[in-house]
Amino acid sequence: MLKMLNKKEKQIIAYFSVHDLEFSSNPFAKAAKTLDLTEVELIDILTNLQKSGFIKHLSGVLNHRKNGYKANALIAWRLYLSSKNVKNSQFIDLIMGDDRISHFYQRTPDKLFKYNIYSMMHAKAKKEITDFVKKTSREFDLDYEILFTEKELKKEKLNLGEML
Amino acid sequence: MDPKTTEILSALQNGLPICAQPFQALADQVGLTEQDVISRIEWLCKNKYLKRVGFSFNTHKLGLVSTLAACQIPKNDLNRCQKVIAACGNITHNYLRKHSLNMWFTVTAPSKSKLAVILDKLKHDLKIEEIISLPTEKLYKLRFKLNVENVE
Repeated sequence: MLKMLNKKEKQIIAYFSVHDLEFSSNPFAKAAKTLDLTEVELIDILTNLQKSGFIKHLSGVLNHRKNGYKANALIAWRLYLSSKNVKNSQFIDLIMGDDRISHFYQRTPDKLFKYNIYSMMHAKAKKEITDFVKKTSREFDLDYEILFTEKELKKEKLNLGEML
Repeated sequence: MDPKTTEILSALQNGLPICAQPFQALADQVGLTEQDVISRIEWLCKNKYLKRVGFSFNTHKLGLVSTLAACQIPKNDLNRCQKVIAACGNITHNYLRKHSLNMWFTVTAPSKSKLAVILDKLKHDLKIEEIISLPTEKLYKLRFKLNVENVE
């Protein structure tokens, strides 16, 4: 059941959509002041927002390239979901369990791009990605395209203050 | 990178607890002082191993809709088009990919109708005939959990 957010919760989400966690002993103190709450109140609301699933996590975002992951690719797969193919769930399990794959989505295909499953894979070298995709496509008899990342042009947080 | 710093980087991917002193909680976990943990995290950021530490939100649960969009931009117009996308507040990610569809970006909006309006405007501003739109149907996984054990 979808819980409606109140004004204060929206303010808090908007605030943290554009502010990173401060590197200090009490990183919520300043935010609480700005949001006109006590630190205890703010932490309480944030905890509840996480429990109800609006907050996914409080975590660190790594720089892939700097951490040795020089090859990054979007892989588009064509999976025939309607068919009673037991291999579908095996394919999904394989992708879910592979830590080199960070994003894994089902998407509505476009008339000009027929693929319906999308995953982002990160590896030390391009060959690791092509080898994995070729092997997997043979095993599951799937059409695919590998779209290697050439350049990151934009990566920003979404300012939720303008959307809620 | 020394093993304790690697351990911190790895732990940060798994997430910090929401509490008054999350860095103290991490310090207890790795067996260092809070100040030492904070210094190491600052070092990780300064040296670009770590982009940021912060909250991530479930945009679907917040009632927003999103799509992965792709288009074919002529090489001589890439610079201008990159700026058009940089200026759009609904676009968070934009990548150049090795494909005839060379530009790929994600668009998020408060509703399907608003998303359609944004895509139409982009088509006009980018001066292209087609934008391929692949709306999210189901999220299976969205998690960065890279093995950082072997980082130099």
